[in-house]
Amino acid sequence: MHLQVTDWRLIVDKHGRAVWETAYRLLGNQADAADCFQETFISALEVSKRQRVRSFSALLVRIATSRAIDQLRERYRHSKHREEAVDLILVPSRGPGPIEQVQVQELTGRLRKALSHLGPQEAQVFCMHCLNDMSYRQIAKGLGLQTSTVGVLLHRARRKLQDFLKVT
Amino acid sequence: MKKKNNNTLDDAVKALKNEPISEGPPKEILDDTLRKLTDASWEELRKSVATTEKIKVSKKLIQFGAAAVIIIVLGLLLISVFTGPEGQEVIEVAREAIEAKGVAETTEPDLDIATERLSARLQEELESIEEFFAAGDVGSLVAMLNEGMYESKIAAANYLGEIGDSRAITALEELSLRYGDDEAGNPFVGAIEQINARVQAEETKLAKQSTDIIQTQPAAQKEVSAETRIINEQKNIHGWLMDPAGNPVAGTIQLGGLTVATEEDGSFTIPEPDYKEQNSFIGQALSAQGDLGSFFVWSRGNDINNAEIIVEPLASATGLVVDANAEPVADFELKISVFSKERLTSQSAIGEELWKSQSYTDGSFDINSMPTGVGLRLTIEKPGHKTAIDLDGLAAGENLDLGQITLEPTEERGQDTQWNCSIEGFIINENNEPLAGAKLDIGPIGEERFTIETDAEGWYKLTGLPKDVEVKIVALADGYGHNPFTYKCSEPNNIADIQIFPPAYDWYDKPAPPLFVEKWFNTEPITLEELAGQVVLLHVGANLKERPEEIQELKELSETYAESPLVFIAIHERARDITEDDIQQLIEENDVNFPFGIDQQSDVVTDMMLPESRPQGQNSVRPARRDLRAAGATCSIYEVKANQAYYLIDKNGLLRISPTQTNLEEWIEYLLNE
Repeated sequence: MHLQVTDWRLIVDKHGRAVWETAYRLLGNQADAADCFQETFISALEVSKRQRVRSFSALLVRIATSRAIDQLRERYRHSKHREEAVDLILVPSRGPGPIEQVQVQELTGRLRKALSHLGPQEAQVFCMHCLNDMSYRQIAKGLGLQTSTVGVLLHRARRKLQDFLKVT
Repeated sequence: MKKKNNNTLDDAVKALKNEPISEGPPKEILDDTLRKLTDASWEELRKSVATTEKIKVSKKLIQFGAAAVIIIVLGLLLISVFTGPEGQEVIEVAREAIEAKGVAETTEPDLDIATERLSARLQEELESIEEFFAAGDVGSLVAMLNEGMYESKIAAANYLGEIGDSRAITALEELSLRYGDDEAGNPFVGAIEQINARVQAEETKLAKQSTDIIQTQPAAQKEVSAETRIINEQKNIHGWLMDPAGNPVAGTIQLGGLTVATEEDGSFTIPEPDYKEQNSFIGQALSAQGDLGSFFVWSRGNDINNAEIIVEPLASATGLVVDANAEPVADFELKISVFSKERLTSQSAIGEELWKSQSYTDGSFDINSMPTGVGLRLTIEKPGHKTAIDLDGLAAGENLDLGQITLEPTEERGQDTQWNCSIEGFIINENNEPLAGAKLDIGPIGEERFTIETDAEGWYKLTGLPKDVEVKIVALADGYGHNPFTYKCSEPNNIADIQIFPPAYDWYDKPAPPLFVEKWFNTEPITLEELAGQVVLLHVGANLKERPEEIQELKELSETYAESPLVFIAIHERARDITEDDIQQLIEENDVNFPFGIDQQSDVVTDMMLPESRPQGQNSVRPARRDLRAAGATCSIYEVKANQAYYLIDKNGLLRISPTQTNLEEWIEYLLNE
């Protein structure tokens, strides 16, 4: 008989970093990223039970992105007004531009929020292209889409994000 | 003027990509994930083993094998429990047991695999336990109590007893109940007792140390804090408030919306802020006397056991407020806000406590306790009047005399202006259709600017406009760009439609106006006539330096339509700060591969070349053609009104439309299929 046992330790070793980066970048904090990290591997496990996985790298990044976006959506649904209430104060001049740091943070916060407003596929394509630096072809392969569809989705995502960033 | 906010997305993406990322998931999460994954694989394996015909034999043998291991291990454990918990030895022994058994069992191949997995798993768990112990990782050890194999549970219990952490008690108690009848005795009870003894000792030690704290040096306190933290697992920041010379200062600390008082010796404990939304927070500190203060940045990852906050002497400012006739003004309101990069970041954030200000009836004021080192805006207000003064960072202890400050009227025409005019009507497009969601940007009137939007019917209403004063208004709508005009009302109530047109509307369905190009890149000079038979997507007014993302979008589109007879051309606007070489370099950097031209100086365009304006609706305001000569001839003749001005030229060379972001792809498809 043939026993197929997936060596998860190897997979976690190999792709853990990419999953972590994806989750952390999108969620911006350790606790949420840790949840997302674990959920991603557990989901991948479920997937691998149902079908043969050709590329764990693509599968994991895809799941991590979509989980993270789900989490962002959840976050901003539950805290509609919280992101406004950033208690910005100020700082004496030691350290490298703390105000700028906080401003940058505010900007990334807005981007995260904007991402939570995209359609799931748009968000995924955008993250895979702009944050994970994947090519159109890689994304198309990973998501099972035409390359041209990836282009269109990306274009739409950018447009929506731009609009959203303008408004807020 | 042109909007410049398309950069925001790329800035945001860049900022996000540049954000520091922690090394990896916390070890306990990583281990927990691995455990779940291997457990599941193991489960799967067992299932597949169970489906074979050898099922019964295998199962029994597995059970037998496992039982054998357990008995051997337990026997040895028993000894070690009595001789004291030597975790290291336990593991060695367990390993030997496994290895010995592995050699002994050589029966069915399936069983081999299964047993191998079993022992491999146990071995793995025992190794992890060893690591957890070495790292003092109590959480993972407790997790092992709950989820590990029986042998692992025992090993974890031993180690936990060694560490003596009270968090393990609950799990241990459960286990001791569950395995109470175990023939090997109850190894969990021993661990519980050990922990209890340890915790008690710890408490006594702590109580003793904390009585010492007041007299001892900060170094001693640090240790206590660190230990307390491990036991309570509270994410508290511990630190000291001190003056620039390092002397302790008693006072208050405010961070993440919480305020705490320090101890007499300046030490404080404050919960870490909630990092959910951001990684850095600005906190503030103030001495009890109110003479020293400071602002500080608290970031995730700072050493929570060793926060040193230095407070400096605060600054003060005095001045005299006068009106336009240099008469002192009484009854004004004084506000201080923190200002950074022309952006208001906070208003009177310190509350009344810190920025105490007092104004007197003779127009003078006196502000104490101003924070140092930050940009501040001082706003002096009185109905109809407002003056703002921006101050750069004040030095510690500085006393700034602002002298006479003239309070300016907020309205352009002073207090005599009547603010009772209104205007309402539709904002309509080239087809006289109302535009819902179009916007009007009004102002600045005095310092005020405001924006209104048309309702679902496309109706707008502006009220409270100054009478007989010219007001600047910009009508904005997607695909129609910016349409500035001025308006002066002389009657209280006015009705007028505002008609706006898409860019280059007067050229629609006419041969597209020529491209005026100073220099072409990526191509020999081309004319639109040469491109007959193909659809042209023309982007006029590109700016590679300020808005490279627009070109990226165009590139993405060109990749999407790579197979279609669609030609992409971009024309760079003229800009004083960009040279030809810059553009050449930016084209290479951005990997632009379609024809790209630099706009020519605009005096080549004369009014003679412009088509006749189309008739406009009655009683309507039509923003005039904009003077875009600074941006270049092509920009001017194509009447660029917003960024990303696209134009589609059909196969016959006629300019058909300036598409919006929404209908762009639809129009491309339509023209390609014509």
